[in-house]
Amino acid sequence: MAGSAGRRRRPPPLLLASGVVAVGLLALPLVGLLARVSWSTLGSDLTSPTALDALRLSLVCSLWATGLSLLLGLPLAWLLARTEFRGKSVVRAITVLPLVLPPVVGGVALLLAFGRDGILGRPLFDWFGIQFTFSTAGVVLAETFVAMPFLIVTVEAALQVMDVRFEEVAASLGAGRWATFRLVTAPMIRSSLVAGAALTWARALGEFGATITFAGDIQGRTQTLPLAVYLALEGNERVAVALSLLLLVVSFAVLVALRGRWLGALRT
Amino acid sequence: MRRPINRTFALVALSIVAVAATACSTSTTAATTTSTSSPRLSGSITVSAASSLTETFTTLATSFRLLHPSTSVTFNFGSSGALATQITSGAPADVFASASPSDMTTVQAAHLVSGTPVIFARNRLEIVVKPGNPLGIHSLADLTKADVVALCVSTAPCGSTAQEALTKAGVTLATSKVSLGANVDATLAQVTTGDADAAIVYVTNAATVGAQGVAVPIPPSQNVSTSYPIAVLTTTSNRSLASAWVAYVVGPIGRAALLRAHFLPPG
Repeated sequence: MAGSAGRRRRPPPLLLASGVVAVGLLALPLVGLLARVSWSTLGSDLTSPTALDALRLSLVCSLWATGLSLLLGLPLAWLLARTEFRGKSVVRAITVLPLVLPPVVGGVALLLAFGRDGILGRPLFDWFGIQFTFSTAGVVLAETFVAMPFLIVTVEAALQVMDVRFEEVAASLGAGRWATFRLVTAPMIRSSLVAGAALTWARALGEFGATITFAGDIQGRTQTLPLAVYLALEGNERVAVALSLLLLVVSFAVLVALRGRWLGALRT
Repeated sequence: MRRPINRTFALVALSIVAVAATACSTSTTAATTTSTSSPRLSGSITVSAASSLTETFTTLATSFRLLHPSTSVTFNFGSSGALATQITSGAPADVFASASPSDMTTVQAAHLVSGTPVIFARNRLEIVVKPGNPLGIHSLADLTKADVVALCVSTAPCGSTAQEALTKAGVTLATSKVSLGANVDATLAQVTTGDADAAIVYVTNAATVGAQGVAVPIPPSQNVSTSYPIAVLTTTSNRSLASAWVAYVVGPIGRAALLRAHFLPPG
């Protein structure tokens, strides 16, 4: 409101109250998780063969998914931000869809496209013997499907906001397209690029619905951490809690790293 | 048996009895109210039931509703192991129908079972393979030919019995070839809608695959059967309806529906 710019106002009590409720709603489940952790057995719970397999697989698959997202998503983000073409709004809708689509539906869709009976999966299997379902490649595919939109959306937004004149000046000085991107564009959108990649990685790491639907649940092959948590919950709650804690710590570390290191410049 | 005049009276009477019972701290849990005389039932209950009972119980609920129009029975289907965990950690449920006695024992150990559980059905295992059985799987031993075999997680009864059957047959499946399903439906779906080559599920599930798969019987010498106990839980807020549902499942109509779904009669 006008006139209150200089003075720090006391927040309206009603807003304060609902704000506290909101924080409680978000924080309480985490407290509940921490309260349930069996600290004395945490070490052995996290180093069981099942847990180690799941951890290794989660890291490998989520890094692959992030790499693929950069490789495929970056060019698309540039195209969406810098060029005009027919059907652009449709393309944009398709890219954003996995953000709002329930992951399990994504898994069913992947099954119908890349499964052994799928529109692309059948020829792939019949002609080349390539099968995505129940394979680690399938996990990477599912994670990329779900996570790549985070990268595209973040980078596209950064490119939209960026002043195009910097690129035009570089071009007028004789820099080629690749040199312009490498020397001017990339450094200017660096923090968004890193943030987008980190979000993509975190989303891939937490992927559950599409993975279990499309790639099944095979230890060492497709059983990532979230899948291991889900199965452990069926009968071994202590291990489920331990694995959940691990995922929580990793997610938290991503946030801290993002704010502290790379996004520090964006803070006001 | 006394017949309540109307609902309000019944409720008042019940609460007086309940208060009296607590006050005197005499354990007068009226487990014997499962009489076949039909009092006017009303209200709703939640039945936690093994995944393998999904179709049969859903059908039974429809006919139960016809008999008792002012009642509603809702279900929470899952693996018996997961359901037992839910119940012992305080999930609201009025009846528990398990696919194995051991999960019922877990709930009993937590003093949550009212009276004695009743075995109402038995089930056996069967292999389900892709339509046309392309890999030529005719026995448990043939499962080693498959690239991916879907099994229930070991904490679900379908998982532990499948493991028992494999042991009986002397078959070891590599961990890297086994895809685990959280419950029997999820396990079967890996063959019928997914790309798993085979699954070990209950005969009752195998009977539902239609054109999406082929059932391969397991000989009795290698097969393992599991018993299904049902019980009213002490946490129920509608004991009369919960007992009526149990009586219905155990009774002739329930029995017929279970047999139709390829369950075996109890014991």
